[in-house]
Amino acid sequence: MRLLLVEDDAMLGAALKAGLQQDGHAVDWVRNANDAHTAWVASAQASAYEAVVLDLGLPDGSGLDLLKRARIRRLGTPVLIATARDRIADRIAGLDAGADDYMVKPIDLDELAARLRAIERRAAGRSVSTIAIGDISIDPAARSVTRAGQPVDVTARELAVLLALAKRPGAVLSRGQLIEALYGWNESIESNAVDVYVHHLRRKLGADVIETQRGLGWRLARGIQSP
Amino acid sequence: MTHAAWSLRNRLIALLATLAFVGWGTSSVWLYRSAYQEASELFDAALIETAHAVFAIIAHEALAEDEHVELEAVDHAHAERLFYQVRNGRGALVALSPGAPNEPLADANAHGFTEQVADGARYRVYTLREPSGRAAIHVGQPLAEREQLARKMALRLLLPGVVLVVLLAAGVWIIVRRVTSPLIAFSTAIDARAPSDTGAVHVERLPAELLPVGQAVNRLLGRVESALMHERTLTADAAHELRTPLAALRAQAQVALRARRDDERNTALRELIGGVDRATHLVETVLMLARLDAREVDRSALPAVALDRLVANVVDEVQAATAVRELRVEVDVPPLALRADAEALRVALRNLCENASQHAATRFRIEARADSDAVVIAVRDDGPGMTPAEQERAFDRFYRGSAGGAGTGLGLALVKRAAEMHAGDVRIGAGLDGRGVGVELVLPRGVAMPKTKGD
Repeated sequence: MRLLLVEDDAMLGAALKAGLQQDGHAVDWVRNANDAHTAWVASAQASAYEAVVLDLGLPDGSGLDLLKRARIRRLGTPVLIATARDRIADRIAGLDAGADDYMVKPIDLDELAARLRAIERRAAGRSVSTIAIGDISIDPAARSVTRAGQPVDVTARELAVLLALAKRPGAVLSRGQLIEALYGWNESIESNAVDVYVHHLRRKLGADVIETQRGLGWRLARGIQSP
Repeated sequence: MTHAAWSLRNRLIALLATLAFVGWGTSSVWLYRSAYQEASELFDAALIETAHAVFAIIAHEALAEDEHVELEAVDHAHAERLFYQVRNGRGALVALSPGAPNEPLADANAHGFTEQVADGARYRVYTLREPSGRAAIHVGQPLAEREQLARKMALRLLLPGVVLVVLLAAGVWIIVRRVTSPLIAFSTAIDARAPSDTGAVHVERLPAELLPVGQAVNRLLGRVESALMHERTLTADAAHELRTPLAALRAQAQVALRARRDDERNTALRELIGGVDRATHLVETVLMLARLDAREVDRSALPAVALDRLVANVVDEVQAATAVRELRVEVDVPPLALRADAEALRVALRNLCENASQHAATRFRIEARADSDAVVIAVRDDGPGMTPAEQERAFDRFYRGSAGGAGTGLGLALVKRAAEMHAGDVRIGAGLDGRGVGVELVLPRGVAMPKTKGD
């Protein structure tokens, strides 16, 4: 998932970003409300983020105000509040302002990952944790993939590419869209990175899994969509 | 309060009631005396009248026969008892009214009004003399009875006054209670408030005299409210500030634990160590602030601190940071001694220099000057400076500027506390080269004294 991380604390922000990247997410990290507003609320590409991890106490304003502004602008991006404010009243205010989830620091990275998966599931309208496409089954929580019941070992980045394609079966995703799903702002991207991951996935899952639409991008092959 | 509070209402009632009572008393005395005098004049008139009547009826007979005659008592309209005696030309008592004393009511040659003791009782007597001197009539009234009657008549006149004064007192009580009821209601309303209730008091129905008080109370409540808010925000901020580094440590440790590659793990562990250092620095700063907060300074007992030497030490301490950034440090501090808490002053200067070495572009300057009122110690840099909004909050605890700086957010709060300890002030002033920030620490001149070394 492409995530926006809003966290003013330098070290916690770095740790959360590293942890989220370990889970295969592309993370953009901003450290104040103004930057968050620019990246998320005021952005023309409002749908660039699949979820926002939001701290409430920001140096130039409240994360809650930012969230309210986003909801007023009808931005539906799922928001998970991650804050040190642990009072019940704060949690209620956060959820009522439009947050989808609320976590109190200290935050366990595994729990954060699970909650983000839950948010992702709800956004996709699924109730089970595994995604099945044809005879391919993806378990984002266990980070495991099986084809025809046989486990397939994939890296976090490869899984991210597969998930991005699996979330919109039948749709063609461009190189740019896949890069967005894979990389945060400051990460160096090798020009053929996406091709490499697609190549690895084909080798591991079978060449028929991903189709190349020349000049457009990639999509999951129609053939595997029904077993 | 050690003394019992006096009541406006009770005092007003007491004063007005006293006034009514004194007025009533004064008028009563005057009324009583004039009534008494009036009665006395009436009695005297009755004595004269009776004397003439007796003279007309019996004088001739008594003179002619020279006998002792019993006479009828004379009834008078006022029911007072009058007695009379008749003397003949030789001075002998020839006639007495019933009950009249046997001793003469007046001297033989008396004339007009006299007073005389006869048979043990005192009498007011009128003597009427026959022009030829052959007879005299004494008409007497017992003084005791006369006074009793006069008093009774006068007292009867005072009765309406008593009723009046009672009505007046009741009126005073009712009016004072009614007039002071808004005051009582106001104080009851304030008294009945919950301790945490800092909402405004209703002042719409207060009288004009009380309105300023109500408004002042509301202004005070407003200030209390904002102080409370500040306190709550500070507590929430402190919780946030202390929790966040711990949360960061935990997250960074977890990143290291989840790392699959060595370089990933090593990066996370290095971050973790940096985080521990930073958390340690924060805890030390918080403890320092708490220590300065708790410290009461007796300014007259402070030791002399050589400011120039202190500044030199501080510059040495931040040398590593300034060297890395290749900053030029300018020191313009004359030899000067201050009466100061050395630790507080050192911490303040060190924080100012640390801030400057973080934010300066090429250089910063530490300067001090003393004038007749104060010593001003300033640290100025040529960094990006502060916006007016940032300047306003610069000394707030845990405020790091709108971009969220890397520090603890407590440095300038420490400087402010150090200034407060010395009854001084701290303010944001000009930086260098038309940009940057200058933080000016102002210590009152009373704290400073000329340096004696080398004189």
